[in-house]
Amino acid sequence: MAEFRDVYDDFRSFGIQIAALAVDSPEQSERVRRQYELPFPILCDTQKEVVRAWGLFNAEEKGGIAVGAVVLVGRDRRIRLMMVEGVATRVRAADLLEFFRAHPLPANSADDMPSNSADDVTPNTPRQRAIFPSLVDVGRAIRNSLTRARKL
Amino acid sequence: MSEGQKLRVGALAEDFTLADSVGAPRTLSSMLSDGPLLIIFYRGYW
Repeated sequence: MAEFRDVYDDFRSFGIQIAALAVDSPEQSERVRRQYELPFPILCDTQKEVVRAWGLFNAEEKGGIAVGAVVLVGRDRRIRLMMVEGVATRVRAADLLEFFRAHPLPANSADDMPSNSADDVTPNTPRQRAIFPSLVDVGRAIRNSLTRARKL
Repeated sequence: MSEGQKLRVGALAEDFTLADSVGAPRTLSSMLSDGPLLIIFYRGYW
């Protein structure tokens, strides 16, 4: 959460909003929001409706909690990207293909992005991008797709 | 680990309204009118 707080402005500059979601009560969530000084809202799925409907419900812990995941929802309410935490998680190649089909990366994606920060030196290898996507890679993929959306 | 079928990429998410941490109702479709939304599902307070 602190990680997302720290890059919140970057996401906003891409036109992306952020919200957190857990099955906690508003009181518990407000404690978390204050503790981490989160600049985005926390949604309280106390009835566990959304986590169940989205298949992100872990029934085996603490009476049922959310599975850690990051989901990008497009303005049309379609799921654009879903990354689920957990060692047992298998990355679905079909989902990645669907994402890249919807948001094609140029052959040399470095040329497509204004490289204006000194830390923007992550090797752009397919392995890193597809198998172990870091937050930076997610941000890059989102930025690319938005850049393309603006050009359309 | 998790119950039910995960929403697939490309699937249409059902609209929902949930209270935020100060009790204000937040509806997915209304939030999306301001742009795409990244939702961070997390395990919760501990």
